Amino acid sequence: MRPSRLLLAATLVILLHGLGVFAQQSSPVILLGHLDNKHGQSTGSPPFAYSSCWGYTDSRGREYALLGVYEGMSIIDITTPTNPREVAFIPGLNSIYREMKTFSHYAYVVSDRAGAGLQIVDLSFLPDSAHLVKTWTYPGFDRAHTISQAGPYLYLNGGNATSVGGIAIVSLADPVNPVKVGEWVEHYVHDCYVRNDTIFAAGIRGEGVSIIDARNKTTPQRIAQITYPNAGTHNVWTTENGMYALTTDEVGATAKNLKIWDIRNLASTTLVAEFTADPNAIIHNVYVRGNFAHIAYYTAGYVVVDISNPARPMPAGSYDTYSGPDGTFAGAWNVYPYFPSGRIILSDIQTGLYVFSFSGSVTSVPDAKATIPGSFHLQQNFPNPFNPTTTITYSLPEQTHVTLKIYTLLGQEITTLVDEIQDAGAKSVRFKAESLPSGVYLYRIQAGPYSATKKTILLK
Amino acid sequence: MWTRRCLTTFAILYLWQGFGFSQDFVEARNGMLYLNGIPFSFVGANAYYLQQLAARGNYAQVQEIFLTAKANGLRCLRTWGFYDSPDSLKPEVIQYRPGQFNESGVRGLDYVLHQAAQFGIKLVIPLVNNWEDFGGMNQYVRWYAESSRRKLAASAPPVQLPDAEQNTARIEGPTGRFYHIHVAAGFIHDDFYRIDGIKQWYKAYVSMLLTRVNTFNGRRYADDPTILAWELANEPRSSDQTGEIVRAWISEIGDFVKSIDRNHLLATGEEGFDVSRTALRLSTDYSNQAWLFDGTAGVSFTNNLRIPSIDLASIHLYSEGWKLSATDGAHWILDHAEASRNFGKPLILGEFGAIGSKHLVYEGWLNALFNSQSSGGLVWQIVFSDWQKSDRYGFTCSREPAVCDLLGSYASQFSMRDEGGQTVPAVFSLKQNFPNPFNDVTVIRYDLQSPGHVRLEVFNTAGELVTILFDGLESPGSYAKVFEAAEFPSGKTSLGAYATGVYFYRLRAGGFAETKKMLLLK
Repeated sequence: MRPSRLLLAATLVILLHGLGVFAQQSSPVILLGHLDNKHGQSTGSPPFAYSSCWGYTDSRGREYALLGVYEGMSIIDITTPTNPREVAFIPGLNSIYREMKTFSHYAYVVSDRAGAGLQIVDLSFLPDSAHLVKTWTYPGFDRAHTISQAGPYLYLNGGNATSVGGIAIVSLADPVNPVKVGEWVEHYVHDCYVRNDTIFAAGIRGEGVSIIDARNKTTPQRIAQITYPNAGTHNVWTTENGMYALTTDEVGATAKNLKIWDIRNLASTTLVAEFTADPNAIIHNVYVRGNFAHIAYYTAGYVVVDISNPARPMPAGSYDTYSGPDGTFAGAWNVYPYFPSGRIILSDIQTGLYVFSFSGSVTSVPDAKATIPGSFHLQQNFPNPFNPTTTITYSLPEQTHVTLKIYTLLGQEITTLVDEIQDAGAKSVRFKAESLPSGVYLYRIQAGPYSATKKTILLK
Repeated sequence: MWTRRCLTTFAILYLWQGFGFSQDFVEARNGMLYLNGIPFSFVGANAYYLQQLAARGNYAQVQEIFLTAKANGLRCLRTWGFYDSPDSLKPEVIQYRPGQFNESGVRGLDYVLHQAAQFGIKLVIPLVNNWEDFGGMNQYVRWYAESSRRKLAASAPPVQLPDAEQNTARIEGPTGRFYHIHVAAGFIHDDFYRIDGIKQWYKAYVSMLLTRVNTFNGRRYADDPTILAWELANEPRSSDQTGEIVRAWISEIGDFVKSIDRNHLLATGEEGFDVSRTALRLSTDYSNQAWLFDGTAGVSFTNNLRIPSIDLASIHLYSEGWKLSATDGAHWILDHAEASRNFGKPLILGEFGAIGSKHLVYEGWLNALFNSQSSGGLVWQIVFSDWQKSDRYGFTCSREPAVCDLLGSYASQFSMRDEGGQTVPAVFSLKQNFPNPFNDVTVIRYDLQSPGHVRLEVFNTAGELVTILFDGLESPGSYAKVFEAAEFPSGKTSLGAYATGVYFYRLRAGGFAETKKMLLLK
């Protein structure tokens, strides 16, 4: 029987309330794995050894980190997150900047170094190998500062992709033979986020955010602009419902923090909140998944903010990847929170790749910095509520036999997700519920001497 | 006023070289700079050593700097117009005794001015150093102390004076430069600003330079529009916490300079410090660095701005050396820009430098410069490719392309605003290459009015195609292509080694085609 909407809503409120209480007790961010695999000499002080990162999930569900390294792009299999493993390396021109996105089974890599072009990398042979298909340029274009992707289009920002470092729009109708179809050049664009056919362009030179109608890819038109004094807007993202924009300021005289804008009325966008994780640290990149903003925050590391009420952003977890002094452009560069497993990867300029789990709920956490957990622990699933797939994460301090089963509220067993001997470490398993009705379910782990039960909500 | 000879020389050069340097001087009006009636703002660089290189005959390195500046759209360089040292054997020393000048040293500066004119790059030139590098104010004071000692010795038996330098305070500058407060027995740094005899020597030096006729192009320095501004000193400081000693000196010397040269803008060359926290409207607490605004540096930015002969406000910025954050640095620019605006004077950031993450720190400061409508910024500093000194602020475009790309990109943004926000040139045009004649490397610029297929080719006098510099689609805009005759760029056609002689370059873009001549001299 289908539970009534009212009952469901009531349960949700109770659960969320419970989560709030627990969230204050400890960080729900857990470090699962770390890889610092420098490829050679990098420059600067402290050295710029790594740059951006992005994620790729292959057709069999294996997950990979694409990591910008000074000498090229490293492809790292994080399917066993406690043991990230480089499976391929695509050399590029040495550069302190490298940004990448994916489309289909290709990675597209840019750098703001003359001659770097757009590298097209075939990922279809992973985890065995990856291959540079070609380095694409066009007259006048051989470098871009950042790259964005939405549907079969790439957006090349900054550099010389356009005459003023605006946005060049590139069609991927044939993924290995891109075609430049249009451009937007009203100001220099440092980075952009494309939501359906709307471009949110970050103007790091004081322009704030230009909101651009790109239904016509040839001649996109600006329809609104978010401006504020001394803006040094580095990147922009929106909430999933598109009602709020989140911006980060990297440079200039404004606070280097997260700003949240109500953009429901484009004719009058308003600042509704600011969030500062550490007044001495500089923010870098923000992304949104569900009710959480995931931030790469230079010397403060990985920061998660609960934005379920955008006007009242609340700290939801963090992990500091950088041990040096604050206030410098060192530490975390980018974070990618979109893996189906719910894992998060982060690139740190000095120390490489980090793999985290984050559950915006959760109770106590064992030793957050240890890759081998100190105790048994079952975490809240992520996402939650979910539809139709979610990931359940747990940790084992030792090798043991594990069973993980799903039950209805009445205790009726539905399915067994795990029933085997497993090694020590952080584990995760996916729960697919296509055939089940909406409602509250229980999942229960039995691992050696340990057992625990948690609730989850399927909301179709 | 122009002399007839200058005009004639100028006209000949104009016709000969096939391009014109502007006949007009950069002017200051209502807080902005103008050139030929159009707003003039810039991103540029410091290269203090150009005169020294030229005096030692290292012309190729001087050209390398100008070429790099030109290729990145940097419209202005700041370089030393002094070298005060008793070491008269060094060819780069300009003044080796008060009023005594090495011709080789001054001729080095002649060459720098001449090359700047060739490349169409403006210069900001300080006339003495606060610091002890290349002589500086303390060298004047030492000369004065020695002459006093000689007078003393002539009239009385020799007196053993204690050597004050052994136990004196040393003031550190932002880039590791320093000066002693106590210069010699009985004389201190401040005496440079106070003693009439020293002021006379300094005026004599300024007078010599401003009335000098350049041995390369025949132009009197005071009549040379290549010079954007003189600076009375590089980073003047004192131990007078009211700043009055320096202010009085600027006022007196400023009037003197204007009495010989009314063509050029005049600036103090100072760093922006002040004597009270209320002198400027401060938008941040500057990380509690009280010394910036409490007279520690002995100079008052706002009091100096009031001096009528000072046309241009000058500040410098080194956040790491001053223990400020990069964000404080952006505030430093905004706050001084506002004060300058209140006095109706344009602001230039005469030096700015960072050691770590240069491209990111500079992004924020250029943002503040651009958005505060300041007139320009000069990074400290651009160096040539085999620069040997360990200077953590110095960079070359080949080693730190991110810095040069950023400067170049902002330079074009400043220029575009000057031209009224026009991003599209009004007409097609193919410019004369710079430099010309050239040895190995030259830059060819052109403007495109509409998008289309563009081809830029080089031919020899036999009409044979030597190389294709560009062949492809381009958007409207201004472009610069580098022609390297030193080697064969890979992937381009070539008939053989480049020999000395005349070459032609042809631009074809849509229905437009134009050919120009250039001369390679090996």
